[in-house]
Amino acid sequence: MLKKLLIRFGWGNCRWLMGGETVSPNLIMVCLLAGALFCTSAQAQTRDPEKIAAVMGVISLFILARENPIPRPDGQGVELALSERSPEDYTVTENLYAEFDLQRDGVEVCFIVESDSPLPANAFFVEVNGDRFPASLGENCFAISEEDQRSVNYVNVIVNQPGVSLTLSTLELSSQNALQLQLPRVTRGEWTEQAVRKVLKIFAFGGHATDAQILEWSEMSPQIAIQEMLNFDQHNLKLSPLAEGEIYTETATEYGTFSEFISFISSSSSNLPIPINDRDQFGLGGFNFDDTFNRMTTVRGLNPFRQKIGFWETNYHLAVNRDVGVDRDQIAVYYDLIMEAHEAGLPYHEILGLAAKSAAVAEQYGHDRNQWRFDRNLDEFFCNCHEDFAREVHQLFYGIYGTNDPNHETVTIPETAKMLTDMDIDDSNVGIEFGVEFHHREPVTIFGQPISGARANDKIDNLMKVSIEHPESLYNLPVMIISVLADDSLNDAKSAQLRRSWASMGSNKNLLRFIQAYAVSELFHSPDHFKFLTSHERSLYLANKNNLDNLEAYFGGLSFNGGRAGIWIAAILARDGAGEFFRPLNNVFGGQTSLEASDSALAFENNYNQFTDDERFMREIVLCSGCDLGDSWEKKWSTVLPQRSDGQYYVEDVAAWLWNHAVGSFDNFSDLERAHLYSLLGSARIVPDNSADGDNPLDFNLLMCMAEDYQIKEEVDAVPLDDLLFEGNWDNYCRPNDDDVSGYSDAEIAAFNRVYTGQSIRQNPLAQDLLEQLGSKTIPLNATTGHNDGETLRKHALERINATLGFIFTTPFVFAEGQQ
Amino acid sequence: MSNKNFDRRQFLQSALCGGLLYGAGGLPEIISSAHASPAPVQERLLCNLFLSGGPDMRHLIVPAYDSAPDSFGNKYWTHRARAHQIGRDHSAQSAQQRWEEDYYPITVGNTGRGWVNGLVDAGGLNSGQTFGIWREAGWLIDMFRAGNVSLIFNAVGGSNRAHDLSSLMLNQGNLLSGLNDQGRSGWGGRLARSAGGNAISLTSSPSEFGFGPVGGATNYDPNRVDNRDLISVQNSREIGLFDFDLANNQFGDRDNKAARAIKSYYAGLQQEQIAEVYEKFTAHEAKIREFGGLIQGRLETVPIPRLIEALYRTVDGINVDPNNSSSTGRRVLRSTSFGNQIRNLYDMVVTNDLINPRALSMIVGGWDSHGSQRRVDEVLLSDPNNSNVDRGIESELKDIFGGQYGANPSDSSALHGGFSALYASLPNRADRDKIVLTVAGEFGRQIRDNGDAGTDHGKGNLMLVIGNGTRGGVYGEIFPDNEVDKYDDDSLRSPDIDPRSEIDTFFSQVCDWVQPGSGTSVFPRMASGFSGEAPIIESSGMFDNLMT
Repeated sequence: MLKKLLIRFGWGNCRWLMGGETVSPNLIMVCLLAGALFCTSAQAQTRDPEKIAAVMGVISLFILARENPIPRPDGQGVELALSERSPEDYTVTENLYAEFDLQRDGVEVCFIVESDSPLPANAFFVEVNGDRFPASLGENCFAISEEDQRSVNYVNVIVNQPGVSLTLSTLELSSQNALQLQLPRVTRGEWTEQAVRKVLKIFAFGGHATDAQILEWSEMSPQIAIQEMLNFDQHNLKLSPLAEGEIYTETATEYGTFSEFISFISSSSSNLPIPINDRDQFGLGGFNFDDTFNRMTTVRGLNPFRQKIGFWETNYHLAVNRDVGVDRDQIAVYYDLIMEAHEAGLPYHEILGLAAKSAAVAEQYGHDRNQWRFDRNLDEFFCNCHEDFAREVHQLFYGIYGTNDPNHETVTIPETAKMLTDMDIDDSNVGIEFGVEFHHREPVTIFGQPISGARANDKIDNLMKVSIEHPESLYNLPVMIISVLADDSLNDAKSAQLRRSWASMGSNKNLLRFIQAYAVSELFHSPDHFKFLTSHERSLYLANKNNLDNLEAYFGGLSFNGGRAGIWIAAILARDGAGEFFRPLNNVFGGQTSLEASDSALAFENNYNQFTDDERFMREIVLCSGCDLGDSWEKKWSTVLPQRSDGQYYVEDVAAWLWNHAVGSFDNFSDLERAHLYSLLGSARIVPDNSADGDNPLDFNLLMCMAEDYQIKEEVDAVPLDDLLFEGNWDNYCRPNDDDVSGYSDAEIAAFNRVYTGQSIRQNPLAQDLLEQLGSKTIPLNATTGHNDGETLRKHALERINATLGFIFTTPFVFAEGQQ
Repeated sequence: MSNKNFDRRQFLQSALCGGLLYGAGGLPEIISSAHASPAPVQERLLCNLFLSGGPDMRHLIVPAYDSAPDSFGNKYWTHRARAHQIGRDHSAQSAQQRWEEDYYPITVGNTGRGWVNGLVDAGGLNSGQTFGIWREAGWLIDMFRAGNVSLIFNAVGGSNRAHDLSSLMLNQGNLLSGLNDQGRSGWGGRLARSAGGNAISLTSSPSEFGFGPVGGATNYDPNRVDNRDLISVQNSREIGLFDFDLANNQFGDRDNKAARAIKSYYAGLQQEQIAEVYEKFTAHEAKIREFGGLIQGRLETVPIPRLIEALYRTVDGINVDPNNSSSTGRRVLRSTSFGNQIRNLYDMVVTNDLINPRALSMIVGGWDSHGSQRRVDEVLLSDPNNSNVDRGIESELKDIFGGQYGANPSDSSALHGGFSALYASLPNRADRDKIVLTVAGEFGRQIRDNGDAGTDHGKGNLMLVIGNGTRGGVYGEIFPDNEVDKYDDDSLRSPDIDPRSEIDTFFSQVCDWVQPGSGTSVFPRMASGFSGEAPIIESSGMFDNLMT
């Protein structure tokens, strides 16, 4: 509890106080994290790569003695208690200090600093137990190990300039060793924007959250933020808000189940940009049923996390497959059955029981035909059945293989087959009629225990309670869940942690709590975590990163009303041979795995060719005339891209934003990436008042070829871009059939094929000059003058942005998530 | 706006990187010699067909019907009646009719009844035993009688009845692997590494079979994966990355500019240190660019043979619909995927001088026949080659083994199935001599059928080694005597075929044939100094002469 008012401190950075190793009594190394430099400490760098964007350097070494008290600072103070966050905002004009007692573990003190007006340099700083550190606006976190703490500790935010007024909020003292469901949770300092984006990428196909929302989540405690990010509500408007000015708003409040969404998107009376005659294809009887699901996952107003889990449950863990005859209505009901149960918070074994009793699963495995019958000739009952689901209900649902159980094959599985008798699919085709006439009414022996029940459903319910606590299930199921959903880097130690976490829920295991705990855990956010994206994940992620409003989601890459918009996910899956939604590649063993996807050269090749040979499908989906039920539509990049105070969109800013938007971090945004992105965004033709104005940007190699040719022909060193790209000039350099050469000259060919690395770009003055010029160019997203009253410039600007996004989606960094 | 980039690559350059090696490393082995037309096969190669799902090979090869109640041939047909659809639906066959009409009889050692001189009965376990091969597997029958098929009975590649775990074991060639051992290499990958060549996956996603070990032969680490010499060829006729063409004016050509931007980027990235998890994709780029160009350059001069093309799409004059006067032809196989794989295999053979394939992998699924294992459709009476009809596992059997081989085929009217078309399209015997096929599923099925006209999971099964390099015949007891009593023993809830020979014992011999001395590297449990649990074998030395 906060006992008295005092503190705030802050800065947008985090610093770590680490116990030293040689100097007695304690050697404390302080890494200050702020601007653009790099901490030599791998620990600091890797623990918080975004918020700790760089490390200013090692500030100093201190020898502290815990017994040596620090004088209490003057001024206003706040006493902090562990794990509590101050609800108050504090105004700081001189100083504010936080005070806390020695804690059992290392702690972290975090807070946010804001100011209504621009601040001069070094306007404020922070003292931690008397040692001074710079600070900045935004979130600031200070980690203090247990051995570095004093009996009473002070974190003092000190204003260094007269007239400066700061607002300090979300002041909090938290443990560095907090557990959530027995998993070590990331600290607030580690819970960065990058961490938030990683969660969204892996658990919500990227989601649709705004930058502001992502920042807000990153500044919250992770255990609070994750509840807003990942939940099973039908509508999560923080994760999937409607776009500014959205016309198609219904999904924000309705049609949150699969069945409802199918009805909505295929209905002639719905408010949709899809022509009425084209809607049937998305209905239960339509030929494009699987495309319905990807629209449900990419449309705004629903909940991409819910769909992520629904997809995993119905296509992986509890997979059913249209290719073996499971009907579309059975699938829709099955999907909703599972997800509504998750939404209601049912224990996981009950949800698995619902699945086991479903018509979809009965159709999948065919145990609806299983009967316990009497053979008059033999004068005995026999099981007219098979063992397919009798095995898989244990193995696939729970991970029970019968290892070291001598009776698994000879007793458990045949007995389970007897349990699964008289389960006819009813006349509705989506339900089961549990009968008694052909059911083995006596108890069956499964896992050595009697499982009783008059009908199959009763026995299944009773079995599920046993299965969820079966030792093999406790061992395998949590690993199965996380390994498919989120983690290709699991090892024995990580798996053991997952098992402990899972087991800690006792008999009432809740999938959401488990996923939330994992999503904010050190396991998920550790540097050695990695996850390859399946073709489904990658294509949905691409769609969510490209689509800005619901017209794009509903179009889904198809052409309606004469215009195309959005990403054609089904085409990506088909080319990759990845299997449609609800047609999992490995039948009941689930869809394409992340390893299958990453090992597929075909998937890589298709993706590569999609954004090169077929680049127009990405570039051109930016506007259309009349496609929005008669109205024109234009992609709304201007509403999300960073805009400076002059109202302009700068290439430098847009390139960085697009990279972060698509990749989720700046880990691999180096000079090499900048060079290519800047060229694609900024090197367009300059043809004032002409339909070619702003069109046809250059790739970096062509730009360099032209610039070098310019230097030679114009006999200058400096190459002014605006001149190089100006009408009448741009086709004078690095062009075929000039210089008395047929085609391109040897020098030009060499330039086209030149390999640029980040280092060679940094060392090339011409490249540096060009990139500086490109970075400061503006992208006329709001043009109102020029050809066609600015529409031409806007169109070409949008096309350049989309082409650049396409480029990013061809890099390795969208195929996986990881740092090592 | 600032992006706070702290250049992770620089950090990584100075960091010690290790561990993850999927797809990392250098490029595969490349042979630079050039031929303008199909190249003769230079080095021996192995192609493994994985029958995913647990195939019931007791449906392909059955005992002779026998009216004696206690005989194997009586027990089998009694307890498999439902799976054979005997007396059901449109097939009013009795067991005896089914046997006589649908199976080609062979009596071991009896040259008057299918057996030919030179065939091997390893260990003399089966003298006088009669078995039948499903007649529509004509190519298999012909190849067997030509001495080119080794039938390995009571074989086991997975020690349990779970698809995923047994598949892992089979593809890794390691029955000791557990669920958590997914990061181990495959036996095809190890063979390719031992042979100094490449592993080629002919499917969209490579199976573990082709995953390479870490390190060079023969001291590699089989328990880790390095896919530097794994090449994925899902469509050999279209493999390749789009590239810019300087014959065009580059200024206005958008797709050329996009292609150059990406190509240039990857070329630069190849020279930088990036996180290892992403190296897989830079490796893909390099491999596809390199091999795509080589393969496409060669295949421009090599048309797809008609017999192979007809496997997966219509070719005039092949498989004309007898019930449709306007039909000019139909695809032959039910599985177009398998047809495509055969085409890929053919293309890899004719480009072998460029890409040095030593271990190739194919997959055919659809074997998990818990219900309706055999489906009988009336239309087959008038149109027996209708590939649109789902015949249960008989569709897959026919796709793979259907056809004919040699001058005196068992059915000279049979259309060429997958391997049949391949062999017919490789007329050069010297080429065929250097190719060996291995065929196996992850487990077998129970010896009794179930109430749904199918069979449930078992363990032991039949596996095959096919090629001119094998000493054809039967290895292991075809129908073990001790199985007879199992059929009617109600205390046995799920009897199956006892596993008697683990794959190490015979596939290691095949590896030695492909690359002399590789067997014990690929299958370490076969090494004389191996200190752990040795693989079981039905009869000591039984496979010593499996290969020529």
